[in-house]
Formats: sequence, structure tokens, C-alpha cells
Amino acid sequence: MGMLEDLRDLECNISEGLNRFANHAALYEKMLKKFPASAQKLDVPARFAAKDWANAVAEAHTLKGMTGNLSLSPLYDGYTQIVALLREDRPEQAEKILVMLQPIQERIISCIESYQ
Amino acid sequence: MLPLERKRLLVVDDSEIDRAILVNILSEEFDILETDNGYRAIELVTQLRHEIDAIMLDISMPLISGFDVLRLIKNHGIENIPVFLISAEATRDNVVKASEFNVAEFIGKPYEREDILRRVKSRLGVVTNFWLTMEDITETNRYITDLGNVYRTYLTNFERDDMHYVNMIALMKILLQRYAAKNPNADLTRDKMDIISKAAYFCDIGMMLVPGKNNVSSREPEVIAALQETHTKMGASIIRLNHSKHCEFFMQVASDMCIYHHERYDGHGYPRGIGGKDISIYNQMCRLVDEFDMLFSKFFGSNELKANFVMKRLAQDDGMVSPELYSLLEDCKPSIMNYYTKLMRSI
Repeated sequence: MGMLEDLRDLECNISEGLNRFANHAALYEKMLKKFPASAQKLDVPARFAAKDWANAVAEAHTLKGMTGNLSLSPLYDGYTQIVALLREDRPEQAEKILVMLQPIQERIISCIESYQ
Repeated sequence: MLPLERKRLLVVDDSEIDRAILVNILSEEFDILETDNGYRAIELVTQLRHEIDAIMLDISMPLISGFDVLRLIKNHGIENIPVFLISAEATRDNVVKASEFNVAEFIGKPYEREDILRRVKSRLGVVTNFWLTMEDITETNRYITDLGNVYRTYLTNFERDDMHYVNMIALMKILLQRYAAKNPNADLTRDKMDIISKAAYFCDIGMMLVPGKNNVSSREPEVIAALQETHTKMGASIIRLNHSKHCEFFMQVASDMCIYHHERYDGHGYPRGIGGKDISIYNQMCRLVDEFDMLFSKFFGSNELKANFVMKRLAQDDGMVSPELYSLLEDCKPSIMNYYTKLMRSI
């Protein structure tokens, strides 16, 4: 089983991702391997803990874009909801989504890191 | 300047992953410069202004936002490089801000490869010949109907009707048919002429986003100035909110009409002061029919008297459009008068 298959098992839309990379699987995997480091520079839970909503939205928005472009679908869907809820001034509901999303993000990152 | 087939784009995004993905998509058709930093982007644009054909610019960046980059580029007197703003959401706020600058379109994330290539190529004139399918025509007409309903509601709210713009459609059709007959190589099918004519209806739609109470009939100097400078670009932003590939021909024609319908052949128009062949024949026609109907509707007398008076008056302004269009207008006089006669009878 390769990384892309493992991510497919974690419900990532790998077909869509490959299409975005014109079926250049090696390039797609190279970009996926950059995700853990990029994600670790952003700390959305810390922003929530500090009630720093402006930065929470900004960082969730960045992760939304990145996970969308990498077709890490569960994360993209989750951050899309979080951004929308924060913009609607509903941080409590956004935090519930974030709490559910964290273990999924950890599983996806672990999967990618296992291939580095 | 590179050959038409290999234009050069500058990609600006602080996210290494997103930037790499976009570069990968675009490098299929374009030469690419890239940077993760808005300040470096400004340096590149000022150093290489004649070698960069478009900028792909992320709005949200930590050191300096995309809009601040555009503001600083504008302060350097560089306004004519088209910009594709990268943003997840084309919010009203972003559309209004974008209208201050030469923003061609919004590009959303996640990127859709074929969609981005099609839109960038179309915008940079790499694909200039459109072949319209039935699906293109159907979906375009649906979009025109929906957009027209929104625009008419806006006009009604300010106690105006759309008669002037309806007349512009009719006049455009008359001019285009005559032009197509005289220029068989112009690639003007009946469907294209229909869409180009309908595009003229929306040339002032940007007024919807110009601030100011009752802005349509206002005579306050600052509102008039705002109307003149910004409604052209705002109109293009509104038209381009639709991302359907089936409507691309209409969007290209209509957004150009919004931007260029106040430009002049002699280069003394606005917002960009371009002239000559830089203004397409269809944009010049839009200007001509706009002026014609405004003058025709203002004067009294028989249709023939009015038509003669208006044509003479327009011809006196010999830098407004190319000389061939004044001749074309003259050739179309019988058809134009026929239209207005039928219009009067129907009222």
C-alpha cells in the first residue's frame, strides 16, 4: 500500500488531487509531504484557547486552502465549517468541529510522516 | 515581450504548497516567476513591468495583504498589468476593493486545473476565437436573464426603467449585422451577435456598487467622479462573479464593455485612456450606441430629423470612435429609424 492509497482509506479524495496535479503522482506526494510542517506552523487550537478570533479565522482559512488543494477532504470540510462558523460569530460551535477534527488531522499527518 | 503562446505570470502566495500547486498548473502554458512575499512582488513588478503579463496574487498574506500590494504597485504608476486575485471567497467587500485596481478575476481555492487555465488563457487573449455550443448559448442566456432581473430591480428601486439599455441592444444588433455583412472574416455568427448585443445592456451595471444614496440621479461632484472612475471596473467585477465555462464568451465581451465603454478612439477617455486598436470594435460600437440613444431620446421632432441631427452631432466628435463606425452608423440609418418608429408605435 502506498501513501496515496492510505490517504484514500482516510477518506481523502485522491482522484481529485491527482487530477489537480495532472496525474503527476510523484509531485502530488512531494507536496503532501510538506503538509505536516506547514500545518504545524499554524495552531488553531491555541488561537481558540486565547480567544484570538481574528487569527483563528486567518489560520483556519489558510488550512482550508491548503487542505483543499491537497484534497485532504475531511480536513478541508472541517476547516470550511470552522471558518464559516467563526465568521458568523459562533465560536462555540466552531470549537466543537475543531475538537472532532484534531484526531483526524493527527491520523492524516501520521500517515504522511510514515512515508518520509 | 514573449510570443503570444508563452506569456509570463508572476505568482505571489506565502503558502509554499498552494504556490507550488498553482505554478505546476500554470507552467503547462506560461513562463512563471514566483515569490512568497508581497514586498518582493512589488520589486519584481517595478523592475520587470514590461515583461510580466499578469499577476496571480493571494489576498491573505502575513507581511502585506494582496490589496496593499496592489495599492503600492498603483503608487508606482503601474496599473495596466491584469491581476488574478486568489481568494476563497469573492465577498462583496473584496469585489468592491478589487474594483479600485485592474483585477481581472477571482481565483478560488481549491484550484481547478482546467478552469484556471481556461480563464487565464481567455483573459490574456491566448484563446480569442470562441466556438459556441448549444450548451454555451443556453447557459449564457440563462445567466443574462438572471443578471438582467437583478439589474432591472436595482433600476426600478431608483425609479428608472431600462429602456435606454434595451435600445442599446437593438442598435448594437443593427450595427453588428451591417458590420458582419461588410466583414465576412469577422467570425460573427448570429449567436455571437446576439450575445454581444445583449452584453451592451450591462455596460453600466457597475453603478450598483458605487456608494452614494440615489447615485443614479445624483449631481453631487464626488458622486459623479466616483461614477466615472469606478463604475466601469465594478461592472466587470460583477459580470465575472460567474465562473461557468459556458458563459466565458459573454463574460469576456460584457466585462470588457463595462471597462471600456467610456474610452475614446483618440485616447482621451477613461478609466485607462487607451485608444485606437486597443479598444475592440465592439466596445467602440457600445460607446456609439450609448451616445446615440441618449441624444436621440433627448431631442424632439420627427425620427428622421432627430437621426440626422444626432448623427451630425456624433460625427463632430471625431475622436470618439474609429472613422469606419461613423460610416457604418450612417449606413444603418434606415434600420435605426425603422426601429424607433416601431418603438413609438408600441408605446
